[in-house]
Amino acid sequence: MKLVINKKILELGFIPIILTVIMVIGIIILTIILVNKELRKKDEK
Amino acid sequence: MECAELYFYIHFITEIVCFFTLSRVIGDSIILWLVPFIYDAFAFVPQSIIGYLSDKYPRINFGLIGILLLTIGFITFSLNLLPGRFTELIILCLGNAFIHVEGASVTLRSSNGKLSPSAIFVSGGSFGVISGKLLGTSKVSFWVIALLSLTMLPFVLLADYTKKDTLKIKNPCQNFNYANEKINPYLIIFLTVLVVIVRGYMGYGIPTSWNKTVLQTILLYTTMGVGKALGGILSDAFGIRKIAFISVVFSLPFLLFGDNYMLISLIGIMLFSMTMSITLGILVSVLKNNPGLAFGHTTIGLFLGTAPIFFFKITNNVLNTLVITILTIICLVILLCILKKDDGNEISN
Repeated sequence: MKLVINKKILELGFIPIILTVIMVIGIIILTIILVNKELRKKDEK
Repeated sequence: MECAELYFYIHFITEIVCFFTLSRVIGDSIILWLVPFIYDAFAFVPQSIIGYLSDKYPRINFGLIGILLLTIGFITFSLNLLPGRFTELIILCLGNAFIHVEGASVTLRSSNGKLSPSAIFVSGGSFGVISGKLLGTSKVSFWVIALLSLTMLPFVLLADYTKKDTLKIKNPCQNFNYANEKINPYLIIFLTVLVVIVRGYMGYGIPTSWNKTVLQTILLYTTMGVGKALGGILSDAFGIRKIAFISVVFSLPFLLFGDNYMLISLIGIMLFSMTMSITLGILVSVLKNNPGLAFGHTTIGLFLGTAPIFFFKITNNVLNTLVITILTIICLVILLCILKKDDGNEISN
């Protein structure tokens, strides 16, 4: 088999993984907003 | 002593504390998978937000907050004092994140546009990772590591004293001019993070069948650390574009053909690790007023690059070789596009 998917971790660690993924996505969105704000500020200068 | 050397030690000890903790984790196979995943997410990803706060409030000593969080997280984790399975781990991760942000911010602000100080700071981590792993599998008491964690305090206070000089300068990162100004800054950030993601993924995908003994593992991490530091030092001396080209192009054959040959593989790993400070230099060139936020991008990229490893892996050697080759070529093209041409007077600087 070329690609081994770790099914066990997906089944048993579902809730912590989902919460972590939500946190990661939230921070990435916030980071994009902050970068946008900083680059716009730079353009205005 | 310069900030880079002070934060080299702080970074070294931080990773010892964290990897000692990870090595002492006990439980079923799911816990052994989940803990490193949650550790990576909570130690790497929040660094962008903490970095932004550090840029906004440079007078606050985030390193000091980090050491306190790290030590509290470590002691409570070791004694299992707090409720919830991951509470102590998350405190430890946040401590790690605060220390990293302060280290990056201080070294970038005080470097006058040079890459070597931040590269020296970053390289300390590799030595700490292997030391922490080895100590974690030994009989050393966690109290020794807790005391070791507190030894960072005088170093962080000394670095804070040095930092005060940089606070007088209006734009301390103004001399970072490594990005191609003809390209849209949003695109540069996106492509640079993509290179970091690839590097994070490749760090785990590199074939190292030769690595079987403890000594060989020590050599592997030492080479990574030396490579990270050399990336910045050589870029300052010979130009970032030249070093990016040499490190990416020459690392590929050494990595692919070094699967069974330690020395060849180590040369490849050293060259490959050199790109670390290069990507940081590009991001700071775009976000000159926000070195902390720029550093946070590299850690988000590292998390996104390593996260897939937790869920699937390529076991076919031919496919793995093909993936590494394609990813390396993509990285090379991206770096050559987004990097500004070297001035040609780097050594005299």
